[in-house]
Amino acid sequence: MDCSQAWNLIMEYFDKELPSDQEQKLMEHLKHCPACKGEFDALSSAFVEMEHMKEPAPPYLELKIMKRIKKAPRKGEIILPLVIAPLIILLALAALGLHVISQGGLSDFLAQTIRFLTISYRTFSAAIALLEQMFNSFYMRLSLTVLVILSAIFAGIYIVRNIRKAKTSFNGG
Amino acid sequence: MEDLVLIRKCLAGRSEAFEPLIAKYKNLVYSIALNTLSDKNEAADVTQEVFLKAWANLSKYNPEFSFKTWIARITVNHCININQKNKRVVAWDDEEMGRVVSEEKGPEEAVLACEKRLMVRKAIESLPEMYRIMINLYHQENLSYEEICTITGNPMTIVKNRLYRARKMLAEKLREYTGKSLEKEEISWIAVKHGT
Ligand SMILES: [Zn+2]
Repeated sequence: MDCSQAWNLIMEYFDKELPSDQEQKLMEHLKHCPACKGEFDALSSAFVEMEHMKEPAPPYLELKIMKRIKKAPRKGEIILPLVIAPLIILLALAALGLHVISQGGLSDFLAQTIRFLTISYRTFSAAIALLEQMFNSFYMRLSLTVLVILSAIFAGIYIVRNIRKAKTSFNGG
Repeated sequence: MEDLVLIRKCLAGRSEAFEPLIAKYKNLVYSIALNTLSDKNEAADVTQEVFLKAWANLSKYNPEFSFKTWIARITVNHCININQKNKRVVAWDDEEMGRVVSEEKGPEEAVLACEKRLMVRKAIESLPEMYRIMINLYHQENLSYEEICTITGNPMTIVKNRLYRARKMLAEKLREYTGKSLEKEEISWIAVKHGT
C-alpha cells in the first residue's frame, strides 16, 4: 500500500466507514510509515480535542430572544393575504369606475354598473340552478351521501386523536 | 414535543411554542457562530438574530427538511455574510480557556492541555472559511454528510471533497506546529547542555 492509498483509508476511517479488514491493513502501513502515522495521530487527537472545545450558548439567550419575538409578532402573513389582496381589487375597481366616469360621465357610469350587476346576478343564478340540478340527480345524491359519511368518520378519528394527544401531553407535562 | 408540532403552533400565532425550539437548538447555532466568527459576544448576538430570522421566515420553512438543518443553514449563511462584510481575523480568548482547563486538571497537565487545544484551534482557524465550516459541522457538531449538504447547499461530491481537503490541510498544519515545538525543545535542551 502506498501513502495515497493509506490516506484514502484514513479518510474512510474518520468517516467511520472503514471495514475492519481494511483497518488492519491501514494500521500495518502506519506501523512502518512515520509520515502517515504523524498525520493520522494529529487528526485523531485534534478531533477528540474538538469535542472538548464545544461550548454551550449563554443561558440568558432564550429569554432575550423570546422578549424580542413577543415585542415584534410576525405580521407579514396576516397582512399580506387578508389585507393586500382585497385592497388591490378595491383599487382596481375604483380605477375602473374613474375611467368610465371620465369617459362618458356619471349617467353612463351608473348605467354600466347596473348592467354589470344584472349580468352577474343572472350568471350567479344560472350557476346555482345548474348546481341544484346536479345535486338532485341520483348519482350526485349517492356520492354526496358517501362523502358526508366519510368526512364524518374522518372528523371522528381526528377528534379522538387530538383528545388523546392532549391527554398525553398533559400527563407528560 | 416534535419540532413540526411546535412550528405549526408558532404559525398559528402561539409564540410561546417557539421557546422549546430555541432551547433545543441554541447550542448548535451558538457553536457554529462561535467557530465561524471566533468571537463570543458576536456569536451570542448572531444566535439571537438567527432565531429572530427563523421566526420571521417560519412560514417559508419546508417540513421536508429538519428544523435543525434549516436553522443551521440560516446560521452558516448569516455568519459568512458577517465575515464578508468585515474582513477580519479574531484571536481567541486564551486567558478564559486557560481558566476553564485548569479547573479540570492539575497545573502542569493543564498547561499542556491548553497548549494542545490552542494549537488545534489555531490550525482550524488558519483554514479557509468553507473548509473550516466543513470540519466543524462534521467533527464538532457531529452532523451527517446529508445534513451538511442541506446546510451548505452543496452536492455530496463537493462536501466530501472539501472535508477531505480540510482534513489534509489540518493534518499538515498540525504537523508543522508540532515540528516547530519539537525544534524549540531541542534548541532549549542544547542551550541548557552547553550552559549558555
Ligand atoms: Zn505512508
